[in-house]
Amino acid sequence: MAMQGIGKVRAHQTQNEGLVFEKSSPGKKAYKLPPLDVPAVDASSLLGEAHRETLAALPELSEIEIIRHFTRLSTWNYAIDLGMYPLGSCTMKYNPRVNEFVARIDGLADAHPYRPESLAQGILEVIDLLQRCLMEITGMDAITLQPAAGAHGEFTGILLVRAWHESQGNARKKVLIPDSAHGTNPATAAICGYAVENLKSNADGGIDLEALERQVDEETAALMLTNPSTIGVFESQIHRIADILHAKGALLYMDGANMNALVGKARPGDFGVDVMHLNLHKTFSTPHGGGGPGSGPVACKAFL
Amino acid sequence: MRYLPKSPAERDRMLADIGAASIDELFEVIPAEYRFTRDLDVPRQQAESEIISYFRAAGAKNATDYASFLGAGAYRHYRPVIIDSLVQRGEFLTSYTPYQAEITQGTLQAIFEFQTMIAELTGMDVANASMYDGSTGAAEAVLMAMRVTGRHKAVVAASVHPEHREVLHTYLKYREMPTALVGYETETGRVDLAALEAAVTEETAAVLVQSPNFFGVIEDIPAIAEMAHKKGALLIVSIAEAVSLGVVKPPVEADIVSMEAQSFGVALSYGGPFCGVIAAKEQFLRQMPGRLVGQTVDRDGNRGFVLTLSTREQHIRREKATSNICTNQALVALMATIFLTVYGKEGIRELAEHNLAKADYAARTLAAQPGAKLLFTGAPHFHEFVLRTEEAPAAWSKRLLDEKIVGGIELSRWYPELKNATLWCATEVVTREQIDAAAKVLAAAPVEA
Amino acid sequence: MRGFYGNVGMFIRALAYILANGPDGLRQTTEDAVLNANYIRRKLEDLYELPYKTASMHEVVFSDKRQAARGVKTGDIAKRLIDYGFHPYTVSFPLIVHGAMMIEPTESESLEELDLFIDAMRAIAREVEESPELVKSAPHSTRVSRLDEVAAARKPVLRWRG
Repeated sequence: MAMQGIGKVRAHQTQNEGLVFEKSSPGKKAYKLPPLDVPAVDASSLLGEAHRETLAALPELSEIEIIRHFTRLSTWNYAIDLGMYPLGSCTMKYNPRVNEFVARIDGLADAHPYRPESLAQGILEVIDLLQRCLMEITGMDAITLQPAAGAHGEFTGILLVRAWHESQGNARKKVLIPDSAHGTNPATAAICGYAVENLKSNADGGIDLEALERQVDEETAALMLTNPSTIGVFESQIHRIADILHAKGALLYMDGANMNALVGKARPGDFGVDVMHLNLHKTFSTPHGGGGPGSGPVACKAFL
Repeated sequence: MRYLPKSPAERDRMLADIGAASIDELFEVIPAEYRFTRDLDVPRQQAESEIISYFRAAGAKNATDYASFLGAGAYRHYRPVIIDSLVQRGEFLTSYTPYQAEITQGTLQAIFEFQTMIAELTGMDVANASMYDGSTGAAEAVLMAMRVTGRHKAVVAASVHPEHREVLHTYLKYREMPTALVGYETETGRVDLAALEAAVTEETAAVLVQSPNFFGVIEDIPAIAEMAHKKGALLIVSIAEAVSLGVVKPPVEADIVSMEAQSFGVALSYGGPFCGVIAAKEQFLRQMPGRLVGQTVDRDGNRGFVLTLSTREQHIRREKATSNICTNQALVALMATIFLTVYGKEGIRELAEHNLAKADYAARTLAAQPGAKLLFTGAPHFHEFVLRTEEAPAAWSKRLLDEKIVGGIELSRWYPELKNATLWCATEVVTREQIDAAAKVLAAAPVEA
Repeated sequence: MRGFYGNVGMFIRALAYILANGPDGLRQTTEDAVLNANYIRRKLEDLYELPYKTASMHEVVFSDKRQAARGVKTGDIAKRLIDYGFHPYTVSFPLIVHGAMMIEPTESESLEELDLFIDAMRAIAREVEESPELVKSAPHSTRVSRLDEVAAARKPVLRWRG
């Protein structure tokens, strides 16, 4: 077979493993609570009707079985740590281990979000420094770190666009989206109350300037553009694109999914982008963890 | 740069193979006027030891040795050590969303186990693979109810977490979906049933309540469900404190449950990442947002798991999707799955009972201090309670901080009518000594001259 | 937008990454990401169709046009990559490219790993000519293969029942 001699792979050792529920048997335990230092209570009399009589059918296992169960499951996964993960659009780069280490430091990992600010100065400093770094990297003037992921960032960004148009007296009706865009783009525009208008790509897979000029009007709120585009190409006409939009009072939104091609080499804020989101789990090496958590900060120009 | 696996000679060889004279040639597609030529103004490259020192110093500034009675949607519970040992296995940590089922069975089976556990705990038929957090989950649940019923109004209890209500407001803002707010009964802190009955109409898609609610009070779910269902509306129950399900009856009368699973072994981390999840009755499955893992067989008949019902999602449906959600909280859901496996059927009950006992003792002890009084005593609580003091909370809070105790949070920031009222939480990690110390400080109000 | 301040745990990690890189490391990272993608493009463009000839940055998109003539689709080639020890590229996206194969190596790959990937892709291209069935029925080395997604969606089993 052709594979011989060039394939890097050998059969990887994995073991069969059932569902955790199938390994359970009553009376096994993996926990021990400390003795109760306050008087015990009778839950059923305290809660009355609200007391839970039937327990949830959670598994009952010992600690070693839990370790083996999840370790065996883990061996069924491919991962960046095992080899190249060339999943386009997802930026599957190395996830540095020091990141994991520092995120678990006492005082950061156990900080309650409602603790008094006087007891949260350390975390606020971290947030402030990250914001300043991201604004410098994007060339934008303001940033919010709140959105939980890229799509959530898009939602925040388009709401921002909408709020700005409203402050100008007209929320406008549509958002232009190239046919090469991520599916989250049209889904986002729709939930922000905008009609989605498709923009056909030109022969190079980029924005067709003539089509853009035809389609942008006084009811266009924004163009959602991925740059570099999803075919990995930089929109070299980016300044023209921005000019066409701005001439009609529309804004340029950039999906920052592909920022890994630009950091330190070009800044969206310099080439006409008004608002954009980043994906910390793509460009900035936070782990994908099998689908999340992510983080999707939104950066914008001062007038927004 | 220590993360980059290339020598200068290798880079040169690659450039030669590509046929480029220099790396800059590859960036020539960027118009010259937009090429960034100076150094980014970010801190210089740091050694690993420097990075650790920086974050340790930041952590120390945050003060780590305080006792805390804070809750209000983010809860301090003990996190078994094996959670972090297991989720830091590279195969979990550094893999992507399990689109390629053959090489992501580990993540897929773990999510299937998560879905099962959440369905068991909440008394629902099915649960999804996670949402960003409890607040966005509740908002998505309301949108889901609107799709199911074809109606466009929501009734929301004022005793739902105020920040969750704000998020809901943002989500609904541009969809012409008005919400009616229903107040709470002053004796019990429960949703005002008479007002609720008046607010629910034939146009109501969903009634959203939280239980235990923001005041820690367990709502009368069967009564609320009846009112919602009588008008054909769906009942959504939001659960901010998942550990309560160890001892509190699950809201089986609800149609949709939106839960924040942070309590199941997820660090507070100043508020995120957390782990929302939506569970529902089976008949609403196809309107559910977020990823779902289903069981199937492979070509040889072996059991396996896949992402399923993806025709609901954005990458297929684009602007017609049930939600724009893409990234979820898979790794955090894995933490919750491990946590629930560690405690198991009996352990989750025992843990919940410890919480109940600590809060009961704390409530009685604090309320026994001069000038202090419990509010909302007419209904059962889980591990949070509201205390009203004669002395302004700002005054005793400061005295508590001097003793390295963070007391309850002031409610007037969200409920102006609840003057001098504070929300306290006592989980299993709070000790009797800390409760007694807090009580002593409360009692020591300076005598008025 | 969401409760509290956002995914603060992720901010800490992202800042640690920026500190570890500094301005020079961030720039080198971007350059290496673009270098890697262009290297793969150069080494595969004789065997796989490049629908757009425009210069690539950090990712390169091929199409399965030539392989499709032998009845092998982008999804099959992706599954066969698994047998060679790689995670597949992104399949069938973007939608403007029919049979898209979207490859983003990132900066994290050594020359050795890139060459192994290129060898694998070239070997698969040969297999498509010589034994297309082998590719169409991949993967052959995994615990489970070609799971029945249609059955999963038709009658959803979303939880274990004892």
